[in-house]
Amino acid sequence: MSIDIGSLTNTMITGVRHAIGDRWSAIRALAEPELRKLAETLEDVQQLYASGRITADHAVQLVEMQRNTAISAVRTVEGLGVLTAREALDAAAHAAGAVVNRLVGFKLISATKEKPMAKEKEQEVPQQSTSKTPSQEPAKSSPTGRTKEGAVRPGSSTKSTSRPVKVQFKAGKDL
Amino acid sequence: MRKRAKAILLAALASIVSCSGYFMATYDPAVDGGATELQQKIDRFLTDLQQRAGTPAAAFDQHAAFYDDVRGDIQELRDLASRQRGNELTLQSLDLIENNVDKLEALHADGISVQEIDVVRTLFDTQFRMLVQLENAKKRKES
Repeated sequence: MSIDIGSLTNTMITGVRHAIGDRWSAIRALAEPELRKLAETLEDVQQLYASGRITADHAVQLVEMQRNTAISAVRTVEGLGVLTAREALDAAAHAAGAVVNRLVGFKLISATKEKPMAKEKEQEVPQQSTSKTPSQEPAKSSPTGRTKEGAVRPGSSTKSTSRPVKVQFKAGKDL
Repeated sequence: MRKRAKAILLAALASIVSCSGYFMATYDPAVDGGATELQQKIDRFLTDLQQRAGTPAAAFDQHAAFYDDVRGDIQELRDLASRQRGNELTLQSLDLIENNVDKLEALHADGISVQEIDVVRTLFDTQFRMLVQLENAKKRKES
């Protein structure tokens, strides 16, 4: 049994096109307004500084926050791109699967959509399937259900308790 | 025979590439929900801060604990996200949010204006929206 490589290639390309569709334009449509909005905030900061309503130090802090936010947007776009590329590869493998499997005589390529990898922790400890650690169970009101006791968390900073309060609030415009 | 070898090569290549560097973690509703709740928590805080502007109730020392609380929430989300491989982008996004929380804290300690809070709100809103978009994209891929 022989295979028509040209035909198989076309099958795979069709599969990829079908999988991606207008995804790339959707990613672009997401990224552009977000980055435009961030550019506007940069202009706001510039105006606040130019009008003397914020100090140079505050302007620098706000621009750094803006930079972090722009990186967040880029990371998301990157992630959406990876997911789309992954989907395209799956579609290509899926499209070629039936033809190639028949040719080689065994299931070399899975014809079904690949299942995502299960959580490693869940595989090791089945009782954690709710995605909460035992220490999170007595949660009160935190987003992830953690405890509110004063124990220092790993990675948690305690600097605010020791931070010298330089200016608590300023009369007029500031808090 | 030669075509058969090509086909096997093609199939093997597709399988290897599809299982390699393009791996992305699965959707975790705890991360998605936690991020949404944290966004609301920060937004409520900023609203409260704006409403109390110019009063002692808005002073930094009245709210110092909030920042540690938020950092704890972010750490919890990091712990959840780091349980899976392929979650590096989510972890980086959480680190960037934490970095902005640190900067907000510094601004607040130094005296933050209502106009500055508006800017900060927009930035946090974008950061969380981007994070939730990424999580939802994972969900869509699985469905």
